[in-house]
Amino acid sequence: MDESELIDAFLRGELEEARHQEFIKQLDANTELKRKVLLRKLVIEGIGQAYTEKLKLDLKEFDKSLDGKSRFQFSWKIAAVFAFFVMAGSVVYMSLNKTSPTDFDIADTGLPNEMGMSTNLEFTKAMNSFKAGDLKLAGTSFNALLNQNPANDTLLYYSGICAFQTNDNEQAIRNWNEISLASSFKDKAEYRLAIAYWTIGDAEKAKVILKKVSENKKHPYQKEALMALRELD
Amino acid sequence: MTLETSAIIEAIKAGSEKILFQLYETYRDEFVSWAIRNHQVSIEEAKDVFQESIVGFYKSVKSGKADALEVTIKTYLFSIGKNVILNAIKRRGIEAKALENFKEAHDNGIQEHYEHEHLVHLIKRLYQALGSPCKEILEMYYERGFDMESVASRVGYKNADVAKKKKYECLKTLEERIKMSRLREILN
Repeated sequence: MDESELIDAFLRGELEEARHQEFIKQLDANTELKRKVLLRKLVIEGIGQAYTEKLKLDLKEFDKSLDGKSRFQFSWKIAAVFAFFVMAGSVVYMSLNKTSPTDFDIADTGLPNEMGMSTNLEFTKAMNSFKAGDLKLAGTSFNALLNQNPANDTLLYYSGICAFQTNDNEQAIRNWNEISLASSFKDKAEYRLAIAYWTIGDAEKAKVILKKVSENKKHPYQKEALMALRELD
Repeated sequence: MTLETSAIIEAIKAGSEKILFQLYETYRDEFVSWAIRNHQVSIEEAKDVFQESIVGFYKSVKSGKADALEVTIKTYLFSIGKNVILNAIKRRGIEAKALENFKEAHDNGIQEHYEHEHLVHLIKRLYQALGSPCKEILEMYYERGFDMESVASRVGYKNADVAKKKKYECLKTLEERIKMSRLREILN
């Protein structure tokens, strides 16, 4: 571990007790090291301040999108015009016979229900809605469960599929991005994330992920990623 | 502390931003109605205050202050919001005398505080001037607490070692810029 890593480990509280004490002794004796630690602390504080400013701005933007959501619900005229354009667009689109990112989506039939687990009743109901194809209801149910357990990878994954299938791509991206590397859903979520980025037009991020997946021979979606990448290129 | 509160705090500590936006969406309207009813603020002011509350809650979680939270997150968010409003009202009242008061109370403690704030502000500006992916890498590692594996996965690097190397380069660039800036004299 070099000095820079050591400083990080010290400030993150990742050093073992003995090493931590030894480092404190070094700090008392070494002015230059003390200055470096002070500088690193200031840098971390500066990054933190920049992050909270960004968070505030993101919340402002999010706020606007919330207002936009509720206005849209009551604007039937806009909805009708929108539906017309979607249908017209679909016809033109199909006539041109081009591929779309969703052509590369992968199927997911859901998880089997486990009998007798009353504590998972809400989850079972949500999964039943998912299997029945009522993705809006399933999404709402998964999200309600996610509020109680925000880091649950199963909920993040299936709520993401519901969001993606109901065209809330941003939500799907947020969900799949939250899935940990240790999760059994990681591979599927990773591939789906790429398709979601592609769907919102962020081809660069889609390519980065697809390239990574396609280069990993052990990845279960390596072939799909290769095909999608070819189409994107 | 309830399991739900504890899970939310843990998720934020683990770098989840999503939950902050969910909290905002869940309680925004209720807070806005409450603030308008009790403190006669406008809708826009109330929303702004609630955004401050979410940021305040985030800071409390990061600093560990929220670890011993005895109330619900909703109550906590509302109390932060209430303080923000009361401080703003108080500030308005003393604005005219602010400079005078500041001069009178200008002891070493305050001076040190302002110097520190100034330093952090300048470093923040230099950090913000860094390009992508340096900004994202440093943010993920130092602010959101991700390990290098997670950083690599999110930036699209092959493995943690590649991310670690890049993080080191980014940090070096930032520290060199700090050394080249006016901050050098202050820090030395």
